[in-house]
Amino acid sequence: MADPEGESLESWLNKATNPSNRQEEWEYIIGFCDQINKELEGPQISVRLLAHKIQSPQEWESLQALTVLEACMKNCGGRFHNEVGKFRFLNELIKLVSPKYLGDRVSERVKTKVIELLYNCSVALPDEAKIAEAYHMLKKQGIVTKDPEVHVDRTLIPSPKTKNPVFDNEEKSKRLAELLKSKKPEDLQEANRIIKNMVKEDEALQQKVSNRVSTLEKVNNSVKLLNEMLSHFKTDESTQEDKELLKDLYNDCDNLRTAVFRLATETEDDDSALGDILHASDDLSRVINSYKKIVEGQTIVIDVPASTPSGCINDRSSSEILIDLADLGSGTPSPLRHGLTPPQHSDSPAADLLTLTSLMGAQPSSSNTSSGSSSFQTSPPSSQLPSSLSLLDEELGSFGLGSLDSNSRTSAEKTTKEAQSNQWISSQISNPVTDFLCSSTPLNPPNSAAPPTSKTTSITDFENSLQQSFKDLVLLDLDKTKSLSNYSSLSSRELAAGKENIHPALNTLSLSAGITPLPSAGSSAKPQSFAPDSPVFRSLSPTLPSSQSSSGSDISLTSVFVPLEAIKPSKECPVTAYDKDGVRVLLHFATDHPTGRPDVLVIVVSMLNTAPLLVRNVMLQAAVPKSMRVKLQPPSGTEMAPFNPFMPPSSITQIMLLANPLKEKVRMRYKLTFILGDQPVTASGEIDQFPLVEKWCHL
Amino acid sequence: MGAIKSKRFKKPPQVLIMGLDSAGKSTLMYRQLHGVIMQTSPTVGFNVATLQLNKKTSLTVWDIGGQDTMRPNWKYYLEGCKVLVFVVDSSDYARIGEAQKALKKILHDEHLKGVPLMVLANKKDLPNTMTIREVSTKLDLDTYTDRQWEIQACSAVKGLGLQQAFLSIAKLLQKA
Repeated sequence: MADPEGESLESWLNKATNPSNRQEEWEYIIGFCDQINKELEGPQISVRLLAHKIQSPQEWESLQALTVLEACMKNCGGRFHNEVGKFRFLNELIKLVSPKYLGDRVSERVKTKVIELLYNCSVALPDEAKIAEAYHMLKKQGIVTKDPEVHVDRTLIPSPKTKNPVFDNEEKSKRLAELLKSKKPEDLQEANRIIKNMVKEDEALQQKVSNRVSTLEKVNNSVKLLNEMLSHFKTDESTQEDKELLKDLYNDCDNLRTAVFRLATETEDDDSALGDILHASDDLSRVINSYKKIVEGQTIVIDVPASTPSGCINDRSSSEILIDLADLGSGTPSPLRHGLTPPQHSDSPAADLLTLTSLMGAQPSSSNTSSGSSSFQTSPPSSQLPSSLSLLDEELGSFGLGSLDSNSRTSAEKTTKEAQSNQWISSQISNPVTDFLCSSTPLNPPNSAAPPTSKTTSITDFENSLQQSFKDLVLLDLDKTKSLSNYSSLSSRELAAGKENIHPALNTLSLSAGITPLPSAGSSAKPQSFAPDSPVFRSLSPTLPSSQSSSGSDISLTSVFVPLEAIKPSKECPVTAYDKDGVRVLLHFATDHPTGRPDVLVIVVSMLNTAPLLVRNVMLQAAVPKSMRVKLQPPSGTEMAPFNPFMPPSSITQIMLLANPLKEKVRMRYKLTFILGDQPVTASGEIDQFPLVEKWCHL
Repeated sequence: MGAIKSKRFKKPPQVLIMGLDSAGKSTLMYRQLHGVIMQTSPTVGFNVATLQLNKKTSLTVWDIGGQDTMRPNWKYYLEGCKVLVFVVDSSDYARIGEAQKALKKILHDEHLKGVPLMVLANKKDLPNTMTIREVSTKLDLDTYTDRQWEIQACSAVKGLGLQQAFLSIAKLLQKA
């Protein structure tokens, strides 16, 4: 045959794909390949010629052209691969299989060969990304249903030039060389065994590499697909099925992330592969975060207007409600546990006062918690009664005055009992004051009596109070005759002891009251109306009659309002009430008191957000013992923007007024609720680090 | 593995049979050795046998696995080789380039300096195979001016050309 050296690419290809050829003419095919390698622009010219030939209406010509293409992929190197890897050529292949173009007129044999060729190229040439992209697009469109089986002979991969880790093992190689020189039968057998082991080791390594490549390919496909769907996602336009599909894709990415982490662990010795794995891991993280922001973020925003009828949003609302209830439930034991552990068996007057304060502090907390978690606002749940009775038992063993307070707390007519109790205390206060002044004055309250008569009156009041308590217990259907008997005997025995305990306390109180004008001290002991703004008493006010109050001497804070501009900070250090997850709540104390209210402490509550998440729906509630009042003025806002290091942290300011006419030690319980990012948060606690009461007028 | 028959009075010269996987090396060796066609699987490692050409001439023949994963080991067999037999699948147009590179690499080894080369163009029974001239051109045999070389056609499956090939190998040995 003639082999003219100067023959053109076109003439080679025409002969190689001649429809009249009876078999594949490899002489011409190889000639075409050689010519491509010789010419400077061989690859560019040849792919144009091939693009035309593969679309020949004659099947045999087209099949031969595909064979030529395959031979070129094997023999013409990277320059040819680059040209084939461009969409300009790939699109010509796709036209052969796509029904939109020539697919309907092309024979199955040609289409099968095109698909096999694309698959083999995508596997053998991972650097030519567009080839893989084209192949996967065909799979996505359903034109390709499954990957074709590849015979080892037909792979496009040329013999690898890279080093082989198994066969480059220096120690084994030396051993093998020695054995092969020996020529002894047993040495040759061992040499064969070594080679077989090397081959098995190599196959295992190849399997690992193949698995890694496969996993990374899945990652790329999933990331690309999810990103594409997210970019077209619109909450109001998407159907439930779209959302479920997105959810499935998100779950696939989440699972793949685990697989990629495992790959990273197994591939610690290969830097190049490790780079690919980390890159895939980053892609997964980004797409997962995109999903959370776009899909779940949108859902949360829609959740705010509760009118949306979507079932998913309703479920979310229900979930949030359940979370709130669970938090409230977990908070219930705390105040009771605290209330059950006051100090006992102490004869110190100060200790007695602490006990009183502790008891008074515990009870409002319990009431507050019950109100928050129960739909029956006006009566505590039945589970609270046993706790109350338990408190009774403990306190009765302590001292008589304590039993008085405990009994009165179980009564539904607290106002009456408190009135009597206050009356009794008031009488005691008046007596030493009179002695101190050494003469009777016109300023004494009308109900004040002579010293001897006063003592008799106080004893009578105490006994009447106890009898009333017993009747109340009967009304509660507590059919325990023995208990009643015990109460009676305890009361009798402790009467004198009670007196002894009360006397030093009263002395202390009278000394404090010495600096106060008598009319004010006297009138402050009268029964008062309850402040409706306090959360502790709001639920109880409908069932309790409101007593008359003296004008100008009201303990209520209803009419008191302090603007933020009028407040000057004091030198007292602020108290931190809450500091968690980047959210902080501080209490600052003001220098001055409101005009005409020296018994009121002005507090500025300051909330800061240093978390990188939005804080919203902020609400603060506070509770104090019954002898005090607390009022929270409206806050400056209910939202705090996410923290930004270039801006000052966002904050909320709220003014709190605390009235303490009896100048007792302050204990305040608070409850704070907000939503941090997506997470509802409920926190509660107690604050007792207030400035000394004596200093309230000049902090 | 084949059995080894060693001569007491003279060590038979060593002949290496190499080539790409699936070229037909093992089939060719068994055919010449036992006169029968064996169904072979890819050789992992190597086979060694003593081939009796005639009363006066015998050869130690090494049939070495040709898969690409084992080619790094080829260099360990080259010491002591008297004739290199390189088997080519004459129907495999697609991999003739790969065979050319492999052969070139072997012949560069110091141990094979001046060693004669016999190329066997196998599978000539198949239709649409390369001619001897084509194989010779593809393998760049003309460039090996530093050694004796020959090329012959054969078919291991049919048994055609094998006896002639090995007689030619014996002649190459005498010339060396």
